[in-house]
Amino acid sequence: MRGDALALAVLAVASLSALPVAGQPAAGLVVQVAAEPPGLDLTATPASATAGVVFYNIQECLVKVDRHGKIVPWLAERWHTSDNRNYTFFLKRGVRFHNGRELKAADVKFVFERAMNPETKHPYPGYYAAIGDIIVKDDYTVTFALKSLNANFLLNLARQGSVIYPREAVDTLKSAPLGTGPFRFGEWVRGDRIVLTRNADYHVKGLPKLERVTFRFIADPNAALAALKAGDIDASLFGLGPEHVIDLQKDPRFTVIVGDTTNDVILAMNNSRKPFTDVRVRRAMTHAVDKREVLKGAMFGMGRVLGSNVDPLNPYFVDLAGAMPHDPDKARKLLTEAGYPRGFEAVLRVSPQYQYTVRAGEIIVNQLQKVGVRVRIEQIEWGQWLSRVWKDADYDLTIIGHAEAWDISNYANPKYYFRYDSLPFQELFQKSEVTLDDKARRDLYIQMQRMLVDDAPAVWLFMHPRLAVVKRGVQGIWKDLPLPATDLSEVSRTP
Amino acid sequence: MRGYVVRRLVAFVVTLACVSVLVFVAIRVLPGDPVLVMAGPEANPEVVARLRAAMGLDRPLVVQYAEWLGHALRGELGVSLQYDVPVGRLIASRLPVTLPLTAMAAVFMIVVAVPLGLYAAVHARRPGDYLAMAVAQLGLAVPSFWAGLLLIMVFSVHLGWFRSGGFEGWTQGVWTGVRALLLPAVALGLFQAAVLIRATRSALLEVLGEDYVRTARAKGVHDGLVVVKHAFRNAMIPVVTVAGLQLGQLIAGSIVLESVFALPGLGRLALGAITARDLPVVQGVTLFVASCIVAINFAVDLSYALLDPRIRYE
Amino acid sequence: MRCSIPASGMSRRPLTHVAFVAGLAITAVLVGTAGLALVWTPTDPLAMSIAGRLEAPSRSHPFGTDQYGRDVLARVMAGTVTTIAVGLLAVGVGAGIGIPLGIAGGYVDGWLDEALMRLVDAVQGFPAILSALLFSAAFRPGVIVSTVAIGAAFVPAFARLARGSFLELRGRDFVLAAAAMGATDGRLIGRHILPNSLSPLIVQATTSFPVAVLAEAALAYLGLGTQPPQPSWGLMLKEAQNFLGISPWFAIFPGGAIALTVLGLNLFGDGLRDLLDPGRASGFGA
Repeated sequence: MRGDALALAVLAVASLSALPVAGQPAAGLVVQVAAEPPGLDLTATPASATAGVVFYNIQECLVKVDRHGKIVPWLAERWHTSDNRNYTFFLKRGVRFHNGRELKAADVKFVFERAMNPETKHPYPGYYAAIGDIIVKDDYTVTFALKSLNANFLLNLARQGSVIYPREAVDTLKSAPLGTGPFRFGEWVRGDRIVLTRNADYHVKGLPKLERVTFRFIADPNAALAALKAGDIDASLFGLGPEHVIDLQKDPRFTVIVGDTTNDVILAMNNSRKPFTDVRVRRAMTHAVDKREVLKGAMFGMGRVLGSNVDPLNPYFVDLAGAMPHDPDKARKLLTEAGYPRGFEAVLRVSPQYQYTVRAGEIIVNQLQKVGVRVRIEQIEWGQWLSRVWKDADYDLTIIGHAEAWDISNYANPKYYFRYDSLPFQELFQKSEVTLDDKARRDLYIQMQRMLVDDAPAVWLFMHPRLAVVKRGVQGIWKDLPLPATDLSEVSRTP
Repeated sequence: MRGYVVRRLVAFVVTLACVSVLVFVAIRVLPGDPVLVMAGPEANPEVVARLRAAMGLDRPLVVQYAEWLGHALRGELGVSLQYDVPVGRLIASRLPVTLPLTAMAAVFMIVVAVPLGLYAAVHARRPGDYLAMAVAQLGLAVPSFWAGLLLIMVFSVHLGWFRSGGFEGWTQGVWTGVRALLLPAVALGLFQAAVLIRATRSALLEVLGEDYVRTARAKGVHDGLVVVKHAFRNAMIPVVTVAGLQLGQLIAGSIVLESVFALPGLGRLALGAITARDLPVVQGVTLFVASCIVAINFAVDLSYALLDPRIRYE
Repeated sequence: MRCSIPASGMSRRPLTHVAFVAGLAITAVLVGTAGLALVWTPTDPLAMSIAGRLEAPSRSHPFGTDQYGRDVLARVMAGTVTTIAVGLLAVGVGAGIGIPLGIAGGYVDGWLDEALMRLVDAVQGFPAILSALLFSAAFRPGVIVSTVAIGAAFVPAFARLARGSFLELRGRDFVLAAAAMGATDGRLIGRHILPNSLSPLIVQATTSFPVAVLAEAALAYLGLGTQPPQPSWGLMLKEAQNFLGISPWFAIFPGGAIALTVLGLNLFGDGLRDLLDPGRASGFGA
């Protein structure tokens, strides 16, 4: 009797689950994101979670970095400079904000003056430090007068802090941003999802191809994998690990995309703490690490080994991965020269928030042991890592990925957590910031990369690959990520 | 009895105050800066410093706590540092997930455990008992995140009966909501159910061995009546105690499962807030959870008086 | 409902108590493995070999290899030490603080009892993760620190059970009789109440042991607890989750080890309780 009741119960539950679930309307895309954005205002937070939802989807810039890493005209259909000091931008006509109003030069002036105003706490004030004056010539022409030469000026205008929004929407930027992008903000169900809907008046004809985009917050990569397999989501662009990607490569229902990013994963050494004050020790550490084994072990071979701090997507990249090859004998010799014939002990702090840093750490500790460097791993939680390691430089060794493009500037900052203080390098960098001739700038960058290899302030491990998995039929996802963005404007689905 | 209730209420307030101080000190002492977490490692140090000052995080701890306390006494729990949304509203938005989830897990726990425990005790040392105990062992042996993932793999990925996670909301209908919470509720209640099975069984067995039970049998009272009338009630005190404890653990235990099932509940809110050092949210959630636990304990203590006439409260 | 109430009284001969023997055997294997692992393992549990990662069981690796090519058998053996340490320490802290607290509360009654119980409630309301994070920040993150945090989270359970038992037994005839015969309070607690309240406490202790092991696994999920590369079953299980698509073998052995430990300890605890409380019919008997 009890058995019958049980069977009935199971049947009841099973029949309930046969009821149809409310489905997505046609041409919608459900994307997994690992972290919920703290807010949607790109002018207030540098969080990559925010950029992932808003940047290039809801809000756009005067110029854009396209999927090949090129700077192309966008809200400005062309620009002109004769002296590299005054840049005049000619705005596209008929571009409308999501509230219907047309984009005019006065809006551009407002956006950048607000960004330069220290009261508004813009996260990247350095981008606009060189701007002296912004002059509106007419409704569609605006000129930026720079106080000094700035080689990254155009690039900075294409980045997430430089999005254009209507002045009347400043107060709602955090919770319901307005912009000129292919998608409008739809709704934000905190803790669960953000929904964007198609902007029918988008200034690029034929785009976007999707009716709606739903970003679902799923932090656990195994849960994301399950959601993909169960058909609950259509794409995972950042949340999976290499082992999940390998698993899905065998599944004909999915398309796997492996590309390049600007995320450099490094083993940082505290240059101000013994024994890392000695360049010979730092070079020994570089020789002691077998980067290929690390890549194989932590990333299943996906990604690219790095030799210095510029990633392959950067136009000035030079491949120095072989400059300081894996050579345990040389490492031991250098350590002996530096006064550590029996090696030394150190603590490696990593944050389990980023699994690949922990995995790389375990492998590296194993490798370092073979040359006598005995390292203890300490996993600390992200908030602590930021305060103790990043802010206070209270560490011996740490492993982290630097996702920003063009971040070689960190090595020119002696107060950065590397505590690397090299006057020659700083001079080289300052020069490169004001050199606009492409060839001359490239030379400077090559010099800087080589100098970094010699000084070895850190051990550059690998470029983290772009790992994305989408349902078969989804097209238009960027293969490489020349900057951290989730551009969905050209994405479409074939049913 | 009335004096007892009043004393308990006073104690309730005192407990909450203690918890709030503990949490406040803990979050502030723990290295980690909420602004830094929000800004991330690519942030500009000057910007971070300015934001901290603007949020009043530079002031002495005592001042900050006093200010928070003042607001709390007026019923304002402050505003989340991360989301810039009132804490009360944030918590309220998560309750439609966490409360039903906990309730479903508790129902699962009681409905499965008490009958199984009773059955096992009454059929002690016979196949039925061994089977029930085997089920209990299974439930005990599996870590919650593992149980959750296994359930997803079998019932969602493989069989397609349930979604793999997420929660649409109750607007789509009661059955849709219940379905979304079913797998996580089972994963959540599994361990506690196993514990309760064993506790029920052992409590009942003890009572069944008591003299007054043997006397009743000797007097010819029907077996079933003996169990229900005499044994069950007295066995219930330790059972209720354990059930109350498990209920408290259910509330705390949802943190991991909400991550596995991507549910927008209180547990995930708390975890995210701890990671981000979002003190107002941590305070708010902790106080809420502590209140629930104290309330449950109060109910358990009151039930002692109901179940055992020898226990009295003045 | 047809049933027959089991007769009370049980065999006083421990070795015929089936479940107890099984539990004892499993527990002995555990302790023995831990002891052995402290001095010898078939291979080095820390030796990596990326090329040979995530292999199925074979002659050279009876349990297969993990994601870095380390021998799973050696790691499971070494993990036994961690498991036993975690369980003992957590239960020790929880019971060692909780039981005296609970009895004190039940004994003194009135305001002090209320205060103590509210303190217990406050601890229960304090998120266990927060205390684990705190301890890890104040001291070094590691298995000992996290285990103490887990033990602290056990205190409320032990305290409330001890107090509940105390209150229940206090009114019992044999206690009242002893008191009437002039026994001091200390003697009452020590000789009459405590031994008779052992039963639920032992159940709680044997249930808490695996809870501690599982809690350590949950903390491993968050990066607290055992630090890599030290082996711990919970950490291994968490890692194995990621590789299910590539090698399902990896998850079986740590998961199986946890399940076996839980089973063994529960049987052992059941049997132990039966033996300590003669006259009570409970547990699997001969």
